[in-house]
Amino acid sequence: MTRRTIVIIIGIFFIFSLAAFNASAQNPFISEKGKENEKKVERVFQFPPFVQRVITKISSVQRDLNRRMSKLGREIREGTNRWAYILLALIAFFYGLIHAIGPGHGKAITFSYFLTEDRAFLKGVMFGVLIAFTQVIMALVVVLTIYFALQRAFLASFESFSRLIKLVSAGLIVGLGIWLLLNSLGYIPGFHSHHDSKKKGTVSLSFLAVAISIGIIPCPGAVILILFTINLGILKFGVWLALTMALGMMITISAVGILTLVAKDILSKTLKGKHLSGLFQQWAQRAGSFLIMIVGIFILLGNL
Amino acid sequence: MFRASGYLIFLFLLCCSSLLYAHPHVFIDTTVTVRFDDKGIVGFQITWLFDEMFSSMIIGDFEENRDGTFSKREIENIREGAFSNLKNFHYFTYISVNGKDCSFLSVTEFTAAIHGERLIYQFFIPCRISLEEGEKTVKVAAYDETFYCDIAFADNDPVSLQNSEGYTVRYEIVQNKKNPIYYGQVFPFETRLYIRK
Repeated sequence: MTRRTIVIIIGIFFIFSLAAFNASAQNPFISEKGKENEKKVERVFQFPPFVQRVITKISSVQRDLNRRMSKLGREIREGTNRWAYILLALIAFFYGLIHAIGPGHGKAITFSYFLTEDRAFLKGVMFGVLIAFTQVIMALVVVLTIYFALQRAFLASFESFSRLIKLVSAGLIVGLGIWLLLNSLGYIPGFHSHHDSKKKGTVSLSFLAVAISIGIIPCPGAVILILFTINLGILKFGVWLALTMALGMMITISAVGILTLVAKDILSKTLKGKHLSGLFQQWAQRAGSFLIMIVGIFILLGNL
Repeated sequence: MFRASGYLIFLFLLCCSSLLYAHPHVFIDTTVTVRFDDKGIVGFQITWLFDEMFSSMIIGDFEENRDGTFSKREIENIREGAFSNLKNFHYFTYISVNGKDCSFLSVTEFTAAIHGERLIYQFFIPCRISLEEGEKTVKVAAYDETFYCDIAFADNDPVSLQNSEGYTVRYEIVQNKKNPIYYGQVFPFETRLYIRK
């Protein structure tokens, strides 16, 4: 193993450990005190100035979007603006797109999974669809259950439920990651073998399982939006809004899947000879499975 | 080959670093009222005006009789269920005098109200600052280190003074570029007060 490879692997673990800290990001109105070592890491790992400027700008855009959505929601309730429905739907779509760039929407899993997949850009889209819509449907189910069936304090109930579902999701993902890894190493037959994936257009069980395992974590952004529409008395429209938001999220997540496949394709093409190319595919599959397992472990650690 | 694998690694890092991307769910407009007595500053009254979405969630949870106002009992429930935990997060307020941190353990006079569609919290931070000698620079920074909440000073009257006759006060509101939070993504807002007797 070259020194460069070792450095890269260490770097990847470091980045993942940062991800672990963020995987535990919770509502400060309810959750425990922030951990000391997290704060130290925060101070050490800083984005460069030009990135900071971009992010500061995006932060103020988010604040503005939030305000506009609230205003349009009220206008719908009062019936004072006939364009409000369309405008709000457009903003929800855009909001979903930007929102999915943020933490917790399955991008690391998507990247890892598509390392194990063969080129089929449609699969990238489908994966994004699965994750985004599962997250939003889950958000709908959770909000409606807590609000109507349980009728208990929403804030506390949601935080507890969210933590529980993250643990379940993490467990599933770690399990799937281990299974995929053992399969890629040839120790066990799998529901996702390298041969199967050569048939373009087929979607393996592992494809569905991984996407849904990460998708069951409800998106807090969608939850707040849906709750808001309930309080405004426009829940039916709220459901449509949530689905529109899912559409935006899907674009971002699918983009990650497709970009991963493109990168793999470029890499694969630079490798001359069928033998090297096959070896590369094999190692990519192993790396991807391993990363899926690692992501799961970090979500687990962040929520225990 | 290495260029292509560099591309792959870059994409990977982008995915992971996006996990750290600044992403608030709650937006707060804050104002500060500085309370004086004849010896100096007694403390700071902080007001938070929340965004409508979060407001509707808290109001929905805690306002039981739907009359548009909070009763004393409802305010106490809010304090316990959606405020007191902020002790662990410094009540999102950081005070320093001439560069030295002014720590405080608890806050008082908590109250909650509904203003139009929005929720307001108000509380007092006792923090004695003597102003007998010379000019002092007092900084009041407002931020949530987890960035679950994005806090900015209100456009109208972000800072007001109580009992300040006898003191000369200048103030400005800046974004502290030297103290970014949340992995260096966010520059918190702070009020800088230059006060002399």
